[in-house]
Amino acid sequence: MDVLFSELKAWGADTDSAVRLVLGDKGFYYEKLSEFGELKETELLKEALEDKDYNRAFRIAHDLKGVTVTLGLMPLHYAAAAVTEDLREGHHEDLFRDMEILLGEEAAFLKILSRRAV
Amino acid sequence: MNTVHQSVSLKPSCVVGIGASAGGLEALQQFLTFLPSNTGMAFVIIQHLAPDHKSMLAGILEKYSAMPVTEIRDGMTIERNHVYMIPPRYNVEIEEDVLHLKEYDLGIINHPIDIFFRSLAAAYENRAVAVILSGTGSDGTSGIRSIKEQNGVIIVQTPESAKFDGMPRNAIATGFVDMVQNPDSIAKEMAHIAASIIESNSRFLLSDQDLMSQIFSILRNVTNINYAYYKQTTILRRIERRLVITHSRNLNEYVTYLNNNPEEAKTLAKEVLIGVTSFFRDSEYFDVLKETVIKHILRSSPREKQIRVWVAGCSTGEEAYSIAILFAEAMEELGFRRDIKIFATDLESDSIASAVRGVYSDNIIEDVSVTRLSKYFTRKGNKYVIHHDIRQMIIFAQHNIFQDPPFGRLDLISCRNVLIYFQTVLQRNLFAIFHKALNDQGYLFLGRSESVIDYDEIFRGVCANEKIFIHNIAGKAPVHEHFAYTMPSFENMLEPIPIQETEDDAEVKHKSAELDTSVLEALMPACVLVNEKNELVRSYGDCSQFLSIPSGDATLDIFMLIRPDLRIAVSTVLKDSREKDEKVSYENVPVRLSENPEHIAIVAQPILDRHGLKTNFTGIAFLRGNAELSGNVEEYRIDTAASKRISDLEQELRLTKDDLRQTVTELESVNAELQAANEELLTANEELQSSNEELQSVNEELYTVNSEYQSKVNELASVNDDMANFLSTTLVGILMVDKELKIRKYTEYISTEFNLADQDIGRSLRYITFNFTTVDLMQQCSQVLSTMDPIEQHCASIAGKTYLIRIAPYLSQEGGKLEKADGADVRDQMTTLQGLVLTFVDTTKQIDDQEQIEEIARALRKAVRTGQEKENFLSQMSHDMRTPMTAISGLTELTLKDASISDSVRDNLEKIKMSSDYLVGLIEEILETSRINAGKIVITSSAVREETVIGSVQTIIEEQMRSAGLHFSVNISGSQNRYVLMDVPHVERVLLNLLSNGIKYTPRGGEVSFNAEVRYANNCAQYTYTIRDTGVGITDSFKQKMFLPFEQDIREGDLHDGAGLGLYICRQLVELMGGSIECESSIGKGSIFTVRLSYSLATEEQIALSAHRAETYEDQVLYGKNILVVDDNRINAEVIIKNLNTKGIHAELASDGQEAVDMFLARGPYHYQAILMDLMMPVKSGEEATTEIRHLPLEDASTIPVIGLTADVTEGVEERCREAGMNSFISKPVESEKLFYMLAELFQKKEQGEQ
Repeated sequence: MDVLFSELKAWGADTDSAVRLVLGDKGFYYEKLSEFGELKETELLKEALEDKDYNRAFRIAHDLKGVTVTLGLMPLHYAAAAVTEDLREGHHEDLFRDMEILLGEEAAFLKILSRRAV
Repeated sequence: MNTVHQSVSLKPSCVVGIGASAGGLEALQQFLTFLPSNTGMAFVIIQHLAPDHKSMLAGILEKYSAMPVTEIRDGMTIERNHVYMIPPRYNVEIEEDVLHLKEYDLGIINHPIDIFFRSLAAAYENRAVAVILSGTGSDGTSGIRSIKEQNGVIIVQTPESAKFDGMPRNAIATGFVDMVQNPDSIAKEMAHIAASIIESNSRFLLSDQDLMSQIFSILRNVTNINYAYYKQTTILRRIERRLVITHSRNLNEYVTYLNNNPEEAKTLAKEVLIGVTSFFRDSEYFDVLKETVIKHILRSSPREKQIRVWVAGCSTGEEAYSIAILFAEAMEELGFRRDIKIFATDLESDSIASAVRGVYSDNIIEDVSVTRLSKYFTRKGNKYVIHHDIRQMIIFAQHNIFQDPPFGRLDLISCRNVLIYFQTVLQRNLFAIFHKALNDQGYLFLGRSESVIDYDEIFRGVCANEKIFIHNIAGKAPVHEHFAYTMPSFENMLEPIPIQETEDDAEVKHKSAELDTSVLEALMPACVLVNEKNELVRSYGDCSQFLSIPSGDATLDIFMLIRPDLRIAVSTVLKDSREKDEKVSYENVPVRLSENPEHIAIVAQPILDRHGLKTNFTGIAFLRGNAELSGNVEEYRIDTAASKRISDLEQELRLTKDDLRQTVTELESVNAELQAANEELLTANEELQSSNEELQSVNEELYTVNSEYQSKVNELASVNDDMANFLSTTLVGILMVDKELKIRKYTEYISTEFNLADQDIGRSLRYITFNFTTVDLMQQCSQVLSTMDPIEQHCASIAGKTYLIRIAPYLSQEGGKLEKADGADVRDQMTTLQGLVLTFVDTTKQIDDQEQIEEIARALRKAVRTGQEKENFLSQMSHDMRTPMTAISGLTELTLKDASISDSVRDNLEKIKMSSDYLVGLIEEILETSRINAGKIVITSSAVREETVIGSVQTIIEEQMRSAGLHFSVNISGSQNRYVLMDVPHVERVLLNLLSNGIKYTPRGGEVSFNAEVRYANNCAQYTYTIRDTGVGITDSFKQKMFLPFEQDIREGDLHDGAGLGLYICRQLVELMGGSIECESSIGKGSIFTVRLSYSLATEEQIALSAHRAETYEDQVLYGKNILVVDDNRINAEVIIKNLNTKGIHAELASDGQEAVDMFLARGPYHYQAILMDLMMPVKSGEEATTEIRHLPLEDASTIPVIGLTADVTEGVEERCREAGMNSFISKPVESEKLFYMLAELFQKKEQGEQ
């Protein structure tokens, strides 16, 4: 588990704060990380954007932003925040780029998670 | 303190040293297999190992023992129930409980087992156990002496079971061995020995004098020796050891055993008498003895006087031989010899028998210098035999000092380490005996720890340190009782073993020769045949008148045998004949054969053999009368003959002198050469002996290494078998190729797609045909060889099968050379590419199955979707209905309070109220079911007294029971009313529901009982709640579906209402809490519902928290509150709930704004003490929900603290929250301290506001 946390840290995650947030319960934290890994929220976000349902997209992106900061997944959090801001400000022209970043970070996270599954 | 205590508890009760050499591995494996792992002993294995070979023994032996097997490191502390293994190139010693390693010199003979046993004896004394297993040589034999001296236990493997019996046999020959058993029996004996040794320390505190007297009596009967005056402690120690060996639990049992086994009495007697001795024991004492005493005795004794020495208690003879050697050395150094007689005696016949043999194992090299060994011993095999000269000095005899008369006129008495066995009364008697036996100024030599007690005037110290005393016969002897002597026992005196002479072969005598002799004897004149030494060889005829036997020593010299008056004549004629080499005759030789003188002729003639060749013999004939002589006949003239004879003798004397001088010179030269050669030979012999021992040692080490390799080979064979079986049976095609793609191995399964046969091994894969046309295998193999990255690919074969092909590099781990870094061996690991592994997995069926699974999954998804839609519909409908229904109910109640309404309207309104309440209840159940199904119910436990819930349930339900006219009883059994972790609301809900059913379905006058039975196990309180009623009962058909949603048991005339969700909710909640629920029922008799739930016992911390003993005011304020958490993201919500629970806050979860409104409304006023509301949510946002809650017609709707949660910290958020009616907001991630502070502050404000 510690190897996973080290790799997540190297990727940019703030696992220390996140573990502190769950009162040092690393097992619980790992469980939540795994649950998050299975959520596939970005797919829902992509679908909403493809349907041009920006309200739904905003809600999902916002939700993603909230959960990722709770879990200390900062690269994902920043990417989700960027997408949230694009949607809030109506900068739809930046969405494609920011979504690419978000998906890239998500792939990186999932790769680390699958490689170091406990 | 704890550490000290722990280290004491780890100390072994006793330590077992196990010595093994060649063939030891097998014995050790057998020993460890049967060795119990909890004896409390520690085991140290001293195996002869090759010094330059890394030992694998620890690894091999580990498999045979449940105990840890560790290779010894220097300074390691020994622990009980551990096995320790000697490392190569080191000797091991133990000091207290620490093992020390010492590197030994490869150039000298090493006896590691002896070294360890000696240190073990010193460190563990009678708690030392020595085990000797298979091996050649005699290592261990010397070490067990030390063990015996300390009263330790010695066990040896039976020579028959040992692969090499040298070590066991040598050990047994010492007579010190307690048990001889097979390795498995030795292992089984260990537990008994461990237990006996622990007990033995206290066993004799209660020793019984009567029993001891019985033992002495038995011993006296068997050995005729009274042991009563022997030292009790010595005898007790021996008895104590015998108790262990004979498995006797106490002295009483041992006495019985002694009575039944006469052999045991002999063994015990032998044990008591057994002396541990060695050559030159305390060598510095012997040096002083030689210089001070022995040389003085030799110098002061007259030449013709015999020097007499008595070695009393000589045991196996080492001491007697040592003194004899000292005498021999002293005589050599002083340059003269004396007649030495040493009387060596002992009570023990076996010891004397061993001493008489004078044969000792090669371990004596540790006590006897190389010079003495070469001078006074002869090496035969691996034994040393004492020289005949030394042996001749000693007379060994079995002798009882106190019963048999002593030896007299002694110059020296050596009585070492004998007195220690006797009580003072015996010691005094012994000194009285020595007083009588020793000459005045004779010497007494005692053992290191012995003294002359009251006889210090008689025996005065010469060298007090070395315990040498001089006898002063005039000294005053103390008065005491003297023992009387009995029968002398010198009839047993043992003379030196005679050296068998070699018998000459008997002469073959032929019959014809006998006849010839008879004829010649009868007819011939007197003749003699002499050899070149003038010795009579044979006589013929009647020679009696010419020859006679002189007095004195027997001789064949013809000149001594011949008559004196013929001596000159015979010598002259003999000389003449020899010189001339012809027959010479002297006539007229005067002689007086009878009364009258007469003349005879003497003829001497050299004798030729049958071939006419000259021999060394000369015949001499004595002719009487007028015999006719031929050849060279001379007149015998006595004067001429005499002068000639004198001249001849003078000439001969001169020549002889010259010869002698020359011979002496030559002899001196030869002697010098021989001495030099002898010294060289001695040196060479020593070197050869040394080389031989080294070779033997190397041979043993090689044997051990070979055994280790053999063991590894067997393991490898087993692994190979596993591999072969795996390859032949696996349903995966595996193909292994080398770097040139030549086939190395393949599985049978692969041959379905590759045309492979055994003869293809070694052929390149390029020349093998296979059924894959859609993939370029060769190209992909080359790619993997160059990149070393595995490739996976799906492909189809010609036969229509699909495969997953994986091509991966074949890497081998190669160990580098051994290096030593910081005392630890380091093995470099290098990975090298050896080839490729191609794996072919048939995925045909898998793909087919996958398609089917996908189809089923699609159908399932569709069904789930339909179910969800149905549930959503119900949930939505309930949501929609609840608000108006609540309003209807509320407004009706308000209207009912109006006193001006008519009775008919009141009646109608009451019915409306009843119906609307029923509908609200129904809606609640539907909504709860919906939440359960959506997984929104979270079980949160907190520490409570386990009977709390029963008490609260009883309080609530009792009134209802009374109203329904039912007899109600509550019973709790087995409860200790401890703190448990329980989700109180949900447990209450289940129990109340079941009890309500009881009320509902039991006619007035019936009985309802509520029992709770508790058992505590596995740190849990296991509860069985039983709700029993005497109601209408449940039909069998309904029993099948009673726990399903919307199921009701509707019977004719049934007035009972409900949606059929109560039992469903009960079961769901019980299962969520990890419990079970079941029902038994009979129509007309009633029903029994049994609920089983298990609650973890609360920890002190949990109790402290729940018992409201929190340290901070904040904790006190927060504890026990119920908070509604509203968040559509389950992960976020769970993190928040986890934090809330730590403060004893109960939390419920709503996943959107609408649900939050519904739950708030449904739970009623003051159910929640706060709401944590996410802002951004589907269905209804947090702001909308808060606004709606604030307007609900509930008493606390406007005052309940609501805190907004948001990941969005943009400007204006706070304002939006305030506008929506929230008290505050907090940004995500929600930091618990901040949240608690905020909540506590809000609760406090609210409380103050209410006040």
